[in-house]
Amino acid sequence: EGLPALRVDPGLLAPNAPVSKSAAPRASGGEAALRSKEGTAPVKPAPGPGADAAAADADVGMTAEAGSTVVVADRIDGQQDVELSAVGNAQLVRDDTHVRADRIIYREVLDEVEAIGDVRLSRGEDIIRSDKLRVRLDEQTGEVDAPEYAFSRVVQKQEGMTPRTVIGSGHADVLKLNGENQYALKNATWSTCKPADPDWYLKAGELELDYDRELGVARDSTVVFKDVPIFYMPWAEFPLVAQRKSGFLPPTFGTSNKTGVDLSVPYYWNIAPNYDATFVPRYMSRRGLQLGGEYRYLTDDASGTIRAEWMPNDRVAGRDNRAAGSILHQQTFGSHWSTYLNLNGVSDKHYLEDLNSRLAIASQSNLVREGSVSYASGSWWSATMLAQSYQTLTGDKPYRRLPQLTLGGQRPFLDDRADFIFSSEYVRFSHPDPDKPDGSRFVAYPSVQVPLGGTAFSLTPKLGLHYTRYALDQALIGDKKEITRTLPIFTLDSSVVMERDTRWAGRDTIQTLEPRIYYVNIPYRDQSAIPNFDSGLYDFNFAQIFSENIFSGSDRIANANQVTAAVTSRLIDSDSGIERLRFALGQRYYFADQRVTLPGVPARTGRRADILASLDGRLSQDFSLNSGWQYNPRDKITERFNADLRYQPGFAQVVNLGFRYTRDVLRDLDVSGQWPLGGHWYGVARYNRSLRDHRVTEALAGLEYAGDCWVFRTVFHRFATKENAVTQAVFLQLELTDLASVGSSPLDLLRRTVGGYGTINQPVADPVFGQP
Amino acid sequence: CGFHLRGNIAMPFHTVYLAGDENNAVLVDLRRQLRLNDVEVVDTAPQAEAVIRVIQLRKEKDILSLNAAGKAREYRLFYTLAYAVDTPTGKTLRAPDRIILRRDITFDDSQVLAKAQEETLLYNDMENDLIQQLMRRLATIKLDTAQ
Repeated sequence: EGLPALRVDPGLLAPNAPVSKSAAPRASGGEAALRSKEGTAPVKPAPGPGADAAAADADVGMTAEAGSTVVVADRIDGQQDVELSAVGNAQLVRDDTHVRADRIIYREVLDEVEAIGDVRLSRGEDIIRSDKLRVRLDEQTGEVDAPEYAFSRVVQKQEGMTPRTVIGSGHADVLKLNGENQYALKNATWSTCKPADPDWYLKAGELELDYDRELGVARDSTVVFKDVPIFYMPWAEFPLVAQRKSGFLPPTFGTSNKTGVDLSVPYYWNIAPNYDATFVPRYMSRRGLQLGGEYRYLTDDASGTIRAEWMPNDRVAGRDNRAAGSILHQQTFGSHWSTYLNLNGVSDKHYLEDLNSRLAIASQSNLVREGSVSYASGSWWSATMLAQSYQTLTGDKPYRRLPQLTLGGQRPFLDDRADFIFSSEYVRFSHPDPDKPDGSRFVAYPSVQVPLGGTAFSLTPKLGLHYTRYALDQALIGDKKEITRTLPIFTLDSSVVMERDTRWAGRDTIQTLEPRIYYVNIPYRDQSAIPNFDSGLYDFNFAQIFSENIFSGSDRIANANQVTAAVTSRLIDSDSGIERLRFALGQRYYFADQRVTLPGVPARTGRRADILASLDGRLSQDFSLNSGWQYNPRDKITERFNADLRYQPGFAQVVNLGFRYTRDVLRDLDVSGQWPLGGHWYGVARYNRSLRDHRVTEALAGLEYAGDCWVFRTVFHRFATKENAVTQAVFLQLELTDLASVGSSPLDLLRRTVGGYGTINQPVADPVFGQP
Repeated sequence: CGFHLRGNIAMPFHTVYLAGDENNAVLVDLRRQLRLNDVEVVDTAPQAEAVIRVIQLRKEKDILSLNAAGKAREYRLFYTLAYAVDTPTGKTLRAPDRIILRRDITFDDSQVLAKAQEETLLYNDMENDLIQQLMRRLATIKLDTAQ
């Protein structure tokens, strides 16, 4: 048995009363077919009079009980259990399958539908039109002659993102249904454009669409863009619903003064949901061929990326085997242990500036090689072991830390009325240059803090003892190879939080007023015999003025008798708790002169430190500002000033205006933006000029065209690489939406360079996993 | 001028479950802050009135300005916290939301180790800021509006 019940719904037939009458005198089989086979299937109520008209173009009104079949037509005749013939506006419904045609023949024993003349088959979201089809309903197998089809799926790329519908459509000579969600086509086309006149399509001798795996496989295929064949592939896999799928990514074509004509054709291999790889063959007309690859993995307890590039021969540099590589790995073992590895290297010092047009990497002078193992006790303490060195491409070489061991923690005691804080470190410093002193350093810094006060008012005294011991290989001064330094450090941190209800930009808002006073006392110790392994002067900013030491690292601990006063005021949206705007003002007062200095750096003079002010947040719906100002009241000069104003009234509409100033170091103007130019065109640009050096450090100009189902972008990029050298490059890229739709270098460049940049086509599948 | 001393932040729930890497410093501090505001952090989701899911904690670093030699002179550090709050039965109390903070840092090739430690100081500062801003947002959740 197993076949679903067949039922011609008399209720549905009723509006066509004359026709059903004409069926009545026919063979007894026709009458029998009007009954439910089991005789128990309930009869659906008749649809309203309007339903017929609506049914002409949709399946409105045509529903069937689960598993049963409903046939309706102008005239129905045939024989029960054998063959039922429905002629004239014939419709058949089984579950979510609807067939409409001039004529439908249903063979119950075979569970087969044959439809002839203006056939429309819909199943779930899939629609097939043809002149003739033959389908077995339950098996979902069969064949359609010369179909036109449109298959829709809803895609939600990530949690929190708006779902969207991807429609793949086309036509073929023959379509075979091979079970649920499986289609095989001959001489077929496929496109995510609007079906009527697609701007691009894939044309394939054989095409398989697997909507279970959301994968298309094309053989003997050509990509046709604006009726021009642009790319032939004997075999290709592509994603049907914009998920991560293996396939070619949009090729990038460009030219630059470093490489000549530059063509990359990345191939993405989606090995498994948590493993993938990208291979990037790259051809540079001046230099030769480069092979690049990236492999990524993500498991429950580990993640990582391995990258490598290799050039067998570089014609310009006259070198063989130029290469670069990196390994990034993170792993946890149970809940306590974790490990981290970050290795980077290049075959020669000029590799990055010669071959890598990605500025973010080319602008590095030191490539880190480090690995660490950490233990988090889960209660209050943790420990880390690190080994770190660098490959230096230009300039000063950093010290190696081989190894660094740290142990630290924080534990409340006295019924949570006090905290014990402990930090300690052992480092062995060695320098690649023999004339730099090597040595080891041990630091232990236990302290106790007692938080007093409640939520609105707090007062926290903290007292600690900072102990350091050096064992140097060579003495810096005299024969001082063993040096110890012990310093008591006292701080007192007090703050008050006040609030009031107000209105800001038409919304209920909480305004806070948070004065804070921070006192530090550290006595003086002569540290001139101690080399400088890892110390530097912190930038003067709001994080630094509330820290104990003006130096980073442990080689210098500045004598201090100083108080910092600051006040912060925030505007917080009452409904959402979102901080809209923050203003802060602070200054430090010294009661003692600075006596501890870094080698070659003069001591601070004067008792009053610079004033810091900042204003950050949204000024209105469309304007936001990030700004900071450091003012030196002694000499009445601005030490540092930066302001970044952003105007962003809508999507793909952003203008950034930035000015950055640091006395004697930089004076930069930075303008960037993205704006619709009308008629599907968008412009994007950045101009970054050093007013101090009278030089353009980075310039970028691009045009993007957003078609319905494709995007074209071209980007000109110019940036400084040396005092008197620049790299200039032009990229071209054609992205066919949902066919090869993953980020690539021009997009990365635009995102990085133009703050607030909006990708002008729909958000596409991003091969980055584990990153919502 | 209308300012008054702030009382406790009144949290809308008394028990909460934190989903995320429990050893991460941000979660450790968040747990402490919740306790200070009279919210008990429980061990399993069904015991809790609300489940805070830390979806993402990401540190990023972009070049802000270059020197004449094309080398980075300033970086901008970003710290992103993405979170969502649900009921234990999976109803949404706060749809996925993110807080993005940024700090600028000057860079000097000759002070690589010192600058790396300065970055740590700024990231720690951002962590405190993230937690403070998150607490403010959590306080505006209304348990009876779950969807």
